[in-house]
Amino acid sequence: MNRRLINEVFTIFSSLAALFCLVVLCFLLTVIVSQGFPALSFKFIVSPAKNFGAEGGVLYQLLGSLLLVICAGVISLPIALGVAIYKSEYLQNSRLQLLSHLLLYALNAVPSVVFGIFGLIFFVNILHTGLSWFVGSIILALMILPTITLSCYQSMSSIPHSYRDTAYALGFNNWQTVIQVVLPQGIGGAITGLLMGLTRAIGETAPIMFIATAFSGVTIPQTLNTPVSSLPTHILALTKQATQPQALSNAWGASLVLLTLVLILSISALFSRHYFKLRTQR
Amino acid sequence: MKMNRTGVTQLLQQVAIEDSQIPCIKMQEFNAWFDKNQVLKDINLQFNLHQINCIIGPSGSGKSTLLRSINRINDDITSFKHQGEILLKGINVLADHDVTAIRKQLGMVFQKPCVFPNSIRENILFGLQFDNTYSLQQRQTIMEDKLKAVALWNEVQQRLNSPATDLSLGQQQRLCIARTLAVNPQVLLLDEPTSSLDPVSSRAIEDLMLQLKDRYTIIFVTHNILQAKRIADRLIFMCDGQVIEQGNKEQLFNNPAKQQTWDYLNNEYCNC
Repeated sequence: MNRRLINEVFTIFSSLAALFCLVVLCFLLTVIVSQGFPALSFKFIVSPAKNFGAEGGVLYQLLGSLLLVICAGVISLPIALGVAIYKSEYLQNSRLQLLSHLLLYALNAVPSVVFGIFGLIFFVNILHTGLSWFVGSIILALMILPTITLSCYQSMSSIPHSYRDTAYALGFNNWQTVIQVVLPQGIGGAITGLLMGLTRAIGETAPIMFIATAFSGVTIPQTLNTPVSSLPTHILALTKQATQPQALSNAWGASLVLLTLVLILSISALFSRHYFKLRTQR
Repeated sequence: MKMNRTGVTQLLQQVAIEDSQIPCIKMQEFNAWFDKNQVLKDINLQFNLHQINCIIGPSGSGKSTLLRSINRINDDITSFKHQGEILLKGINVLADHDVTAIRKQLGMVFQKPCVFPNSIRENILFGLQFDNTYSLQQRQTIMEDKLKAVALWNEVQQRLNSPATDLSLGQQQRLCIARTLAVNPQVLLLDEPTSSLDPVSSRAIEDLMLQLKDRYTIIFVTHNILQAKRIADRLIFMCDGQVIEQGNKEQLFNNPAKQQTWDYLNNEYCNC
């Protein structure tokens, strides 16, 4: 009787917690969609911002955001794969394994603004790079590196050891086993981790606002050392002009565009995880 | 002297042609440890050419460790240490040779069928992926030959591109054997290959071993005494990391020299 009661209380508590999350999410989505939808049009997406964003659209902010996160993904994915392969295939010392795990989790927990300050001090103040979208991508890559690495590592370490033994028994050496056995089965985790990392990176303002972005007057960057504008920093700039109804409306519109990008990346991550799980269970 | 892959392969083929009378594998004073725990003690053994050499013994007696030591799979375990010699046709496989070449000569099949999540075709040719010496046509021929060798060709020839995981466990194990044969080993090491199979599939593997022994030297670890009786030419009884007795099947079953062997073969009980 007591056990049944505890079970029911736990079930009700879990259901209420899930319901609470769902309600908050629905509320946020409803507000952003209802407020942002009137501003949203094809013209809004393909037009550049004018008058400090109070008029026009979000073309360069959208392109800037995509450029920053795609470049961050390109930088971080090979490093994450390398670290994950080293951890799962070569690092046999259990203490170093634990230490590397702790460091990755610690890096994952660093507030994004700290990455921004690090970028400001190291790149802007010491290396004198100035405002650079490429530096912004490097900082975003550093920020999402632990997410991708841990996801890769988890998928690689879950590969049954019998697969590796079979490859060794067929005469494969270490790197051949990594290429033919570990990578094909770990790539699912890498892609899911990458999409999760990009989802986080695309919504970040703090790491890039001091080092990579400008609020107005930017177009498509011609060199590595030029700033871009991004959707989160654009939204921040527009909300500072919230007294102007048109600026506020554009801020909601830009938020909806950003939210759509985040949703696309999140859903892609979910689908990729499902797809690769099915593929390895085939 | 350290030999590379080609050197090891050539030397082994040369020995095979020159002298087929020497034991295929000989273990001399072989000892092995996991950390400080000695798991194999003073192993002196020989496995004869083109025979089914069955290793029997209770769980934990060191049968699998011995098999894994022969093709050096245990080398990748940091706590594993060994001493002594394992001679493959006179060549010490534990010397500083190219370990991948040694492993190719000593094909191994594990307890549970381990097929990769790829097609049947890709699984068979898995071991040849880094070998550029075979043309596409030759690969096709190898695949067909090996599938025929394990009596799987008729069952899968219409669905070579289907996932290998769709096959039954017995078929998967035969596919694993075919995949091992595709890299052209001289010895087949089988670590309880029928333990996860039903009786019908087990008998199919046993029949297969009897067919393959003319071309390969087979070392077969089993728990099943009746199975050993059915297929073994030579029998090795192990207990507590030691070889208690070895000899031809008839000798061990009919007239064992050691009481422990008699106890195990008749009562499946061992007081080592």
